[in-house]
Amino acid sequence: MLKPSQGEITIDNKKPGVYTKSIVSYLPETNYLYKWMKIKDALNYFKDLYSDFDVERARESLKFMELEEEEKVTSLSKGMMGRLKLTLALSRKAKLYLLDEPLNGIDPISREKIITSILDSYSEKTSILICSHLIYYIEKLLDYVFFLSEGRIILSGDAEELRNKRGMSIDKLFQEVF
Amino acid sequence: MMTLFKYEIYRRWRWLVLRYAALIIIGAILLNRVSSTTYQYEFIGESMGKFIFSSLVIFIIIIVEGINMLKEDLFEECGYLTFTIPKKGRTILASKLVLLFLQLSFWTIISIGFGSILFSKLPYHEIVQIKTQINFYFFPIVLFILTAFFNFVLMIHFSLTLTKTLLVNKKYSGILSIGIFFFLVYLIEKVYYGPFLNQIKHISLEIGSRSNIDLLSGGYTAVFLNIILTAIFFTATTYLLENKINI
Repeated sequence: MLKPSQGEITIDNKKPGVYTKSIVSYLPETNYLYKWMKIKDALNYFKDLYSDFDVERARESLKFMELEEEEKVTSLSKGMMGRLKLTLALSRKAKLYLLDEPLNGIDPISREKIITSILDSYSEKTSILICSHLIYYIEKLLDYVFFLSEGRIILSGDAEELRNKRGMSIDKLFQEVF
Repeated sequence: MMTLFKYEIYRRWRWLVLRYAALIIIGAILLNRVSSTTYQYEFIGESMGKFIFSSLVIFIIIIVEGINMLKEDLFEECGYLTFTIPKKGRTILASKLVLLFLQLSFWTIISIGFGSILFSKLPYHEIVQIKTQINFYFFPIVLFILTAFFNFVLMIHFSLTLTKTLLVNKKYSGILSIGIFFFLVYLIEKVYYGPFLNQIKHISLEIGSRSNIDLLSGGYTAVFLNIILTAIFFTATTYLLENKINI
């Protein structure tokens, strides 16, 4: 996450800071968990440091994702790590979820679980911003899309309107634009 | 802060235990050797030397770890875990510095403990002679070392944080951090310590008191200057951590 070179970012009318961190749940693309951690340690870390973290929801999600609390994070495959990271991010009752490439390098089974999990987390009170190149898999999640190229928005709009207007899926549109 | 402090310990407890256990074992072995032989001054001196060397090695490890505590979070992926939590920059930095202070305290207790026992093994007249030779301003020196230690670590923390603020890319971050650090050292010596201590030296000469006032013998003045500088670096680093760094 970089500081903007120009312009201003506000979340819930506040500049990024302690408050915005408390209402934003961020899922980075990288494996950011400490190497010494077991899955249960990661859960405890989130429980201790985020007041909106729902441990029960996280445990249910772990079951759904077929992950064991005693497993060490270093022993997880890429797909399992992706599922764990998503469990941690979506178990917060945040106002805004920022998911950076949640499907990158993830196997098809994990992909389905991740998409189901994102769909289950959706509510009217929350916004989910997903950054992804794998449009095909997340097509059904999209309400509004931005196509970015070299830091600029080259196309944006309501997903349904774009589909009707262009007569093609967002994935096809993505391939056409790029 | 205590929660973050707890996780700092979790991250490092194996190394913490290992390093102090190593120092205690070395101290105990040397003490055992000294105690089990008839008094040979050279042998006691040699053992003291070996213990001081071991203690210095551990001290250097503590400094390096003190620097790495923030460096890892700034330049490695685990930084997402630290800098996306809703905590103020000062809380994050303070949790690391408290652990560093505790480490330093343990090191001091073990070093002084074994050092004193080894020292007491010397013949009485020799102890008295050494004690009279050491013109020791205990409190100013201890305070000076303590404040200089934190000053040094925070100066490096500030250099690293400023680097992370200026650069997105990790590639040249090492060179830039070192450059910033040495520039700060030069600047502080030229515009901060230098003029202050020269002024004190000048006044001392005028009124005929001790003339050899420098960073070590300047006592409380140097301590005071260190505390101000430590506060400045702490504030500046926490400001950058909270508002300016690229994660």
